Amino acid sequence: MATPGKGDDASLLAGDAYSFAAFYRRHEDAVLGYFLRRTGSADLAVDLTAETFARALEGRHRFRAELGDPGAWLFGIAANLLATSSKRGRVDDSVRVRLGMQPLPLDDDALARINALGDEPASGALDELPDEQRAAVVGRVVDELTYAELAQRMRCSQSVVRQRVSRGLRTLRTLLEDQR
Amino acid sequence: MSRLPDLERALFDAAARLDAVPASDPRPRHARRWRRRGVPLLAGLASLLIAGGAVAGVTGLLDNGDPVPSAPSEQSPVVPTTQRLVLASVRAADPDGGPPWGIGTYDATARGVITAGKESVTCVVVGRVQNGRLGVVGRDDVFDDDGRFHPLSPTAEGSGMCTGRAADGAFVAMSSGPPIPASGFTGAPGGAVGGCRERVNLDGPTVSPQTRRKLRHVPQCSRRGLRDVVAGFAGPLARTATLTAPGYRKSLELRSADNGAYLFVLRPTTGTRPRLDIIDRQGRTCRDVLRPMPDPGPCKLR
Repeated sequence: MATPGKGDDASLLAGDAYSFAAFYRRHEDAVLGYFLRRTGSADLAVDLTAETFARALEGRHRFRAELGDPGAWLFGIAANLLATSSKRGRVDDSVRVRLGMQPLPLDDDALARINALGDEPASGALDELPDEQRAAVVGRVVDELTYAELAQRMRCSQSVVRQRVSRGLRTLRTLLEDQR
Repeated sequence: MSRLPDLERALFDAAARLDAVPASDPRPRHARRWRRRGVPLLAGLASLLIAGGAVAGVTGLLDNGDPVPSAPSEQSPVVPTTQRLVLASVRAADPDGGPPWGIGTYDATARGVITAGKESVTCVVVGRVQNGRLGVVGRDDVFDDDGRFHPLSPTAEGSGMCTGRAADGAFVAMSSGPPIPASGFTGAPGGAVGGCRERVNLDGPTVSPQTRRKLRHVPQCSRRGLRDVVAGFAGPLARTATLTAPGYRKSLELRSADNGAYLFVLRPTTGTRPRLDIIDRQGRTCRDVLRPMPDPGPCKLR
């Protein structure tokens, strides 16, 4: 059995249910905050976050470390889901249904915990990143550029971009965890 | 501690179900709890009146009504392969009386997406029992409060949980969910069957405009008309199931022939989640098996 919170992301994705729970806890704030900023709605952010992690769970064995950082992979899922949900006008729940996941009850306490994730902590943490990492993270996660587009914008190779995104997300996560 | 422990638990449960069977094992890999419905809300009750109470008082049985209609097949992740619900022998009385509760299963084919191709699963259904049949009671906005007994079938609209069987036929399906209506109807509220919606503020921030419009006319469930139904199959290696909740403690001796079927029905608890402990046939205890991340410990149910 894996110990929650230990191990790198790729190991957690390849591990058991405890490992995936640890992966969820590690990225929960970042994904919730991403959707909260994009939608301005706590309940929509929860709905989107739940489906994002359900898709990550379903597809975790298809993740290939050589194709990028698990955090960036997760945000790729999140961005795709947000795009399709915006287009259709509703949050898709097909993977949650397939996995037998029940709708989440949300009370005021949960909403308060989510709303506490407002822009400021993430923005502040983003400002603390080295310039190159911040540009890479913003380009990939906020502007939703492909690695090829980012490489062109940053005038470097795709592998360098991937490395900067990976390091930036890792640093961001550490900074946000320290603020909790 | 995560911000959304319920989501963490749901993901953990889903991951555990996916991991329950090795990839090389031909048995089905995932269990699902599902509901044939368009909105994520309970169906159920709004009042405690049973229109057919007088009938039950005289004969002890409710008149039979129409069967619970079938759900549109596209709403279900499974396709039943049988028309027959197989009832386990365990029963639980309802706090308001009337037909006891029961638990049954039917075989189905899952529309597999996680694994390629189709797969065989067994699905769990709970409801009220009369004359050896599983059904729902027409009360509290279900079937216009007709007080009749409406039989369920594998295709009927409702919720359930599906998972694969072991190669030797053993079946383990343990999961917990939100309270359900005392009628036993777990399908979508506001459709042909009726029913009521969960006790949520439709004008609250967690309700989408789409859901708000859909449910505006559906009555809200009465808390007294809801039940915590803790039911499942602990497998043939399970010997005893004990449920503990505030003011409630009950143990059941489980039958191997019923795959360790257990069933407890109580009024919803507030604040504290019921705790289910299972003792296996070697006398080892699986503690709090419904908690978010149960420690498997030394007990053996599979």
